[in-house]
Amino acid sequence: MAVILIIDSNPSSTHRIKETFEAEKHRVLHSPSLGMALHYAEHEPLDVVFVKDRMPEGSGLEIIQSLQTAPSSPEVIIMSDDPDPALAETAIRQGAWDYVETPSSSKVLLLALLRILRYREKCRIAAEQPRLDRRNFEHIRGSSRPLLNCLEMAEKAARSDVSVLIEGETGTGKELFAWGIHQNSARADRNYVVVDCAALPETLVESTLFGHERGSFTGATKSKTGLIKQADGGTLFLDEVGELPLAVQKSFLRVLQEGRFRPVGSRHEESSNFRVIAATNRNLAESVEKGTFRVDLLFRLQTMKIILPPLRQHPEDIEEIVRYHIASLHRNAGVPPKEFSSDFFNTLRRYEWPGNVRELLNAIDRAITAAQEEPVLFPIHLPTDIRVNLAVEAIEASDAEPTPPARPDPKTEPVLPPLPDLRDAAISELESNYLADLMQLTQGDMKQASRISGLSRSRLYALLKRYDVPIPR
Amino acid sequence: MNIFFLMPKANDDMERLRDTLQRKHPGHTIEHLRSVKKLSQRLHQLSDKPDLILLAFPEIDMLRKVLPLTRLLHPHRVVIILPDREQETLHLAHRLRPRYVTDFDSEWHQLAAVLSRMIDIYSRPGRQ
Repeated sequence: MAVILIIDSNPSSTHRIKETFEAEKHRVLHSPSLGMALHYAEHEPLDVVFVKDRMPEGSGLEIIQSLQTAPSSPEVIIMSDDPDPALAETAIRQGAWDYVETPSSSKVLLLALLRILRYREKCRIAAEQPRLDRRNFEHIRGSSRPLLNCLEMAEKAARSDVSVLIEGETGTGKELFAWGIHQNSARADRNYVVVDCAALPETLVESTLFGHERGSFTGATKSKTGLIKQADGGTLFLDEVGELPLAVQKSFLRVLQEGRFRPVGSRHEESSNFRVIAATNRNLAESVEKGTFRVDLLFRLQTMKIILPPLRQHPEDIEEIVRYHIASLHRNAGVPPKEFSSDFFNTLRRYEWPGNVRELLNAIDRAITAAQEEPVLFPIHLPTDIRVNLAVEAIEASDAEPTPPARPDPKTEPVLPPLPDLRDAAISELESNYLADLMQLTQGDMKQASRISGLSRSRLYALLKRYDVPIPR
Repeated sequence: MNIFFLMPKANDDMERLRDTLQRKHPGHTIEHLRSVKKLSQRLHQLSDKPDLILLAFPEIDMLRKVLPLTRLLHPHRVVIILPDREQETLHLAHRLRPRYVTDFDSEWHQLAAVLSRMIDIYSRPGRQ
C-alpha cells in the first residue's frame, strides 16, 4: 500500500483521483493548500505527491524541493489543466518525476503510480547496499537538493561504465564531476585524458585524437599516439564536445560504436577500450536541430545525462563552498583561515554569479587578498564590480517596490538615474553596511574600530551618526 | 590574462613560442618561471593567479617533482610539453589533467596555435 498526497483546490478532480487510488487500497490524503501539504510532508510517510501547477496561493512548482527534502522523500508529479512546455521544463529541472495534463483516466494514474512504486523499491534495495566512498567527490561541496541529485547521478555513473554527458553553464564544475566519476570508477588507476575540443584548431583535431603516422602531413616528422589510444583502459573526457567539427564527429562515433579507429595516414586500425565522459555548456539538442551536431553521436554520449544547476539556483550551498575553499587554501597553500562578518554570506547569496562557482571562488580569493591581515572578511572586501552590481540592484529593487507615481517615458526621459545619484546611493549603502559590521566586530571598541577602518575617531563618530549605526555597549 | 610558463632550460623553440604568443597577444602577461620551486611559490600566492599554465619538462624527473603540486594545479588550465611520449611519461602527465599534451619533438607552431585559441577562449568574460 502506498501513501499518496493530492494537492489540489478543485474538489471534483481531487475526488476522481482519490477514488481511483482508494479502489486499489492505497491511503490517500488531500490538501487544498500548499501550506497544509508541507505539514503532511513533514508528518506522513508519503510515497507520491500529485500537485496542481496553479494553486490559489501560488505555483505548485514552488514546493517541489521542500516536498523532496521531506523525511520520506516522495516523488512529485505536477498536474496541469492547461499544460505549458516552459513550466514542464522548469518542473523537471527542479526534480519533479513528471509534468502531466490533469489525468482524466484512472489507467494513466495507476500506471504512473506503479512506475514510481517500482522505482522506489529499487532505490530502497540500492540504499541497503554499501554506498560509494564519497572521498573522491569531497571537492564538490553543497547539500542542496539540486546538487545532491547531481552527486547521486555521478555516483551511479561511477558504478557503471556507460557514457555520460554533463551539461551546465560555464563554471558550474563539469570537469570536477567528470574527474569524480573517473576517480570512483573501476578505471581510476588508468589514464584520465582530457580533450579540450574548443581549444583544438580544426586542422589538429583529428591527429590529436587518433594519432598519426610519420609523414602523413607536413610537420608529421614522427609517428604519434593520439589521445584515444592514451585513454586505453581509462577515461576520455571530451570538454566542450559541442565544438567538435562535424567531420571528426563521424569518425569519433565509429570509435564509440566499434572501439576501433585508424590513425591519420595509417593503413592499420587500432583499438582502444575507454569510457567517455563529455561536457558541454551548449544545448546539444539545439545544435542537432541546427545541423552542427550529429544526433547519433548525441544519443551515444548521453546514455546518462547530468545537468548541473547554475549557482543562482542553489545559493544555499554558497556558504559551504566558501568555507571549504578557505579551508583548502589554508591546508594546501598556507593561507591563514578567515572568519566572516554577519552579512558576508547574505551578500554573496544576493549576487547572481553568472560565472558560477568559478567566479565565486575567484571573488573569495580577491577578497582574501584585499583583506590582507584582517581576520574577518566583510562584504567591503569583495571585488568592486560585484558590490556595484549589488548596490545598483538594491536600488532598483527598492525603486520597484512602492507604486511609482509615473514611470519615465523612455522616449522622452532617460530610464537610468543620474550617475552621481546612483554613485552616492551605492557608496552610502556600502558605508552603512561596513560600519554595522565594524561595530559588531569590535563590540564598540572605538580604538580598535579606528585602527581597522583607517579612520580617525572623530570621523568614525560622524559617520556612525550620519548612518544611524548604534555603538554596542 | 596571466600565463605561467615553467621553462627551466633555454630552448630555441620555446623562446620562439613565447615570443610568438607575446606578439600575438600583447595585452596578456607571460610570467617565466625557471624552477619547480618558483612555480610552487607562485601557486601558493592568491594574487595574480594564472589563467593558463604551460609546463615544459625537458626530463621526466622534473615532471615527477611537479606531481606533489597536483592539488594546486588542478584548478588551473594546464598545458604540458614532455621530454618523450613513453607510456610512463604520458601516464604521469595525465595525472595533472592537462588540457593539451605535446612533446619537444613536435612542431612548436602547432602548440602556438592551440595556446592562441586557449588565450582567446579563456579571456572571454565568464571564462576566467
